[in-house]
Amino acid sequence: MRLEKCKEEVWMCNHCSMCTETISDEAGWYRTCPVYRQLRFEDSSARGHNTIAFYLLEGSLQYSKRVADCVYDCTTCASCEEVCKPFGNVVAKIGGSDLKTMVPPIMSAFGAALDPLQSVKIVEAMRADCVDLGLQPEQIKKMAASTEKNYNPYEKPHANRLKWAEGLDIPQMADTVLFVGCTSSYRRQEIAVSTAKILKAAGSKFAVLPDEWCCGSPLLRTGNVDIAEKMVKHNVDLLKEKKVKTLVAICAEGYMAISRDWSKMAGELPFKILHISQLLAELVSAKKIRFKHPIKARVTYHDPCHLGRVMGIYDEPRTVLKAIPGVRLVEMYPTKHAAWCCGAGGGVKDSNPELALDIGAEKVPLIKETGASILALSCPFCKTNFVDVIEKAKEPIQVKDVTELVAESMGV
Amino acid sequence: MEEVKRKELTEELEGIVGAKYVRADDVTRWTYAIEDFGSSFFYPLSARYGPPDIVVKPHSAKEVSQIVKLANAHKVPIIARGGGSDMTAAATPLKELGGIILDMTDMNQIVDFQEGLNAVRVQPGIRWGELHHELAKKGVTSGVRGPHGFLGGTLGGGIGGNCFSINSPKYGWVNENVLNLQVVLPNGDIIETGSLANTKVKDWYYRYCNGPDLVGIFLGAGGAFGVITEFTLKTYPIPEFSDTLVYSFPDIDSELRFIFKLEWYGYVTELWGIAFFTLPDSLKRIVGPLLGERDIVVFATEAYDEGVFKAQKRAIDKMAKEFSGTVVPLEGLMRALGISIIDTTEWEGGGTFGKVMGPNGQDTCSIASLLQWRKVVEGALEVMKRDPEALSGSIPMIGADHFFLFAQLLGRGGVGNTFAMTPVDFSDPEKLKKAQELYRAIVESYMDTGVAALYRIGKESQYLMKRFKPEYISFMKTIKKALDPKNIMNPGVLGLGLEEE
Repeated sequence: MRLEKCKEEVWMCNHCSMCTETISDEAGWYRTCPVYRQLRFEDSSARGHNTIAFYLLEGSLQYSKRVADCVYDCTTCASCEEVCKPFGNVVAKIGGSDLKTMVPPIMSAFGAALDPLQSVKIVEAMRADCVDLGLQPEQIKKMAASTEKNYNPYEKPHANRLKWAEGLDIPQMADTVLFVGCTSSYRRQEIAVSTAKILKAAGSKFAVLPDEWCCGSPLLRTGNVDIAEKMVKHNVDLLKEKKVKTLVAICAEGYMAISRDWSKMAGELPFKILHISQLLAELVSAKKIRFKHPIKARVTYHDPCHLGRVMGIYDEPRTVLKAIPGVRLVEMYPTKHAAWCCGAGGGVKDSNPELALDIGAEKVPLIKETGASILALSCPFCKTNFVDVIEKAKEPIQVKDVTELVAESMGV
Repeated sequence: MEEVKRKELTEELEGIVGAKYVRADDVTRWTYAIEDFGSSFFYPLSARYGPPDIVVKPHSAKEVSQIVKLANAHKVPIIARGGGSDMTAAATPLKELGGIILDMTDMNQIVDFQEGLNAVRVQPGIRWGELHHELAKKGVTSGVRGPHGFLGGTLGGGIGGNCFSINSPKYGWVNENVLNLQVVLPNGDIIETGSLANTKVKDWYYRYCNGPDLVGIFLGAGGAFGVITEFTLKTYPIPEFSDTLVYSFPDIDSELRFIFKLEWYGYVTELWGIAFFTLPDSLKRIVGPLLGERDIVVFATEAYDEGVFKAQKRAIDKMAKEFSGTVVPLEGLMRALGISIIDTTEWEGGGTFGKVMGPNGQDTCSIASLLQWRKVVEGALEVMKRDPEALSGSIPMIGADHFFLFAQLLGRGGVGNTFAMTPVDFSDPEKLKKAQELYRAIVESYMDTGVAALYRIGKESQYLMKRFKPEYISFMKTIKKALDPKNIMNPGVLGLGLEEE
C-alpha cells in the first residue's frame, strides 16, 4: 500500500473538524472544504478522508470502488491544509496571506516545522493505491491512457500540440522556454496565443517546444504516479538537452508540478521556474509592457488553489491587473489563502463534472457581490470550469485569463 | 445489525428524510467511527467502539421525531452527532450495539435573533464560527466561543458535551448561557422548556420560570435523554476595550492565588498559565533563561468603558504585586501586531495540536479546584514519571521529548483546567499500550484527589461512575428508565442505557 508512507501523517490528524467547515472573520475564513459543502457527509471532507486512511491502514476498511469514489471527489484545493497550518490563523490575523507565505520557510530555516497535516498527500496516496488496484474512475483511467499515448490528457494528437502557435513565428530554441501545458495547447489556446503575443510585444526572447509533454500534474493528482514519472523525466531530459535557463509555466497546475513535484522524480532542476504572472509582473515593473487601451471594468480575481495556497503566489497576478489602465480590482470574500476553489482540480472535472460545476456555481454569488463584470484568473483549468459555470448560471460575467486582459489592453 | 434489517431501516429512513440524506455503506459508516483528539488514542485500537449501522441527516425536529419513533419501534440506538469532535466518544457508537447516527450538521440555522432581546435561537448543527460571524454583523457576541473542535465544532455538541469555552472566566460555561431547549424525547414527543413551554409565549426566552429547571438534565447529557433540536443562547455586547496582559510569578501557589482573585473580581476574560515545574526539560532550557524560571500568566481583560478599563488595569497590576507578580512586557508587542489572546486560541485547530505536539492522548483534560491545582498536577506528574519512555512520542515543533501540562482558568467558581500532553507512539503497540495504561492512571490520580473532576462524560465515563454515590446512580437510572425505557438514546453515555429493557 502506497498509503503506508503516510502513516505518521494519518496519526497526526486530531479530527478537530476545522478542515471540514471553519468560519473565522479574524483569519478571513468563510467555510473550508468545497466538496463537503456540496456532499455534506463526513466521507467527503479531509477529516473523513483521513479517517478512511486510518481505517485502511488499521484494516477495518478495504479499498473498494466506494473508497475510490470518495477520494476522487477531492479537488485537492488544499484549503484543509491551509486552515490546519499550526498557528496559521494568528499569522493570518497579523499579516494576512503574505505573512502566511513567508513564515514557514523562515521557521524551516530555524529547524522548526510549521507544516500542516498533509491531507492532500494522503488523498493522493490513496488514489495511487486505487490506480494500482484498478479502482480509479473510468474517466480518470481514460485520461491517464490518453496521456501515456498522446502525452496530453485530451486524446488529441501530439502533433497538434503547437497548432495554436501557427503564424506566430515563435522559435524552438531560446534560453527562456514557455511551458504551455496541455490545457492551453489544446483547450484554451487563447491563453497561449495571448501569452506569446504579450512576450513578443515586450521584446522577450522565448521559445516553445513541440516535444513538450504533459507536466504530469493531472496524473500525480489522480494517483497515476508511474505515468507521471515518465512525463516528468521526458520533459526534464528535453529541457536539459535544450540547455534551458528559465522555464515559464502558463498554468497554475504546471507551475506547481514543475516547482514542487519534478525534482522529486528527476533530481535537481538546472533551470529557473516562473509562473507567467511572475514574468508579467516583472515586465510591468520594467515598463516593457505598453498598455494602449483602457479596460474600464470592475475586475475580481479568482486565486487558483494550486497557484495561491500551494505555491503562495497571490500578489503578482493582482499587480499585473492593477497595472492595466481602467481596471478596478475588487476582492471577493473570502480571498487569497481562504479563497474558494473553482471545483475543477484534482481530476474532479473529469471524474465528477457535475460536482465541479456545483462547486464553481457556489462562487458565483461571491463574484456578483463584488459588482465585477470580469472574473480574472491565471489558470486555464479554472477558466474552463468557470466558463461552464457562468454559462450555466446565465450571468453577464466575462471569464478571462490575466494574459488575455493584458493582451487586450496592449492591443496585440 | 443484520443486512436485511439495515436495508429495511434504511428504506424507512429514506421515506422520512429522502434518499439523499441516508447512507449505509461501509465507507460512510466508518468515517463516523472516530472523533476528536483522544479518539486517535483510544477508539480505533479499542474493541469497544465501532461504526454506526446507518447515518442520517435530518433537517427538522419533525424529521428527528419520526426517526426516533422508528428507532424506538425497532429498538435501535440513536446517536446525535454535531461537529464530531468530542473527546470521550460521546457520538461514537458502541461496537456491540451500533445504531443510527443523526448527523445534525444540516440543522444549522439561526432561527431567531431580535434586537432588544439578549438571546439568539439556533439549531444545534450551527458551527461556532458561523454563529460569531452572523452575530458580529449585529454587533453582539454569544460570549462563549466554543470548545474543542474550535470554530468547526457545532453548538449542539458544545451543550451536549458540557463544554467550557476559552473565555468562560467571563461568560461562564457554555451551558450556563443556555436559556430554552427544544428536545425530541425518546418517545418522539417534541417539547420546549423554560418560557417556551407556555403556549402564549412565542419569542420571550427565559429559563427559570416554570418551577424546576428541566433544561439542566438535557445539558451535558450527550443525548442520553433526548435529541436537542433547537435552543436559545444568551448574547452580550462586544467589549470595546481589550488588552492582553502578561505577568510572571515566583512560584505556582502565588500564581494560582492571583488567578483565583483575578477571576473572583471579574477582571479576566480568558487566561492561560504555564507552571514552570510541569515543563519538560527541553522547554525549561528555553523558558528558564528568558523568564528566570518563573510561572507565567497570559490573560485578557476587557471593559465597555475606557475609564473603567483603565481603572481595571490599574487594579490588576496592584493585585499582581500583592502576589509578587511582575509585568512581562509583551502587551505592547501584541498590540503592535494586532493580536490578542482573545479570540486567538480557538482559531487554531488540529494542525496546531497534531503537528506541533504530535499524536497524543491529551484526553486527560479535567477540571480542578484552582487553589488546589498544584496537588492535582503533582499527582499526575508523579504517574507520568513512572515510565517517561512510554510517553516519549515527539512534539515536533518545540522539540520537547515528553509530556507537559498547561493550566487554564475555566470559569467562575475558581475552577481550573488541567490537561497533560501525553505524546504517544502509534508505531509501537507495546509502548502505546503502556501509554494508555499511564493515561488511565493519570485520570485515576486526578479523581482520587477529591478536588478534580472530568467535566465531559461521553462513553469514557468509567472513572466518574465508580466514584458516584449509589443513590446518585440510581437517581440517574430512574430518570433514564422513565424517559427512555427501551434504552435507545445513545447507550453508553454515563454508563446509562446498557441495561436490558
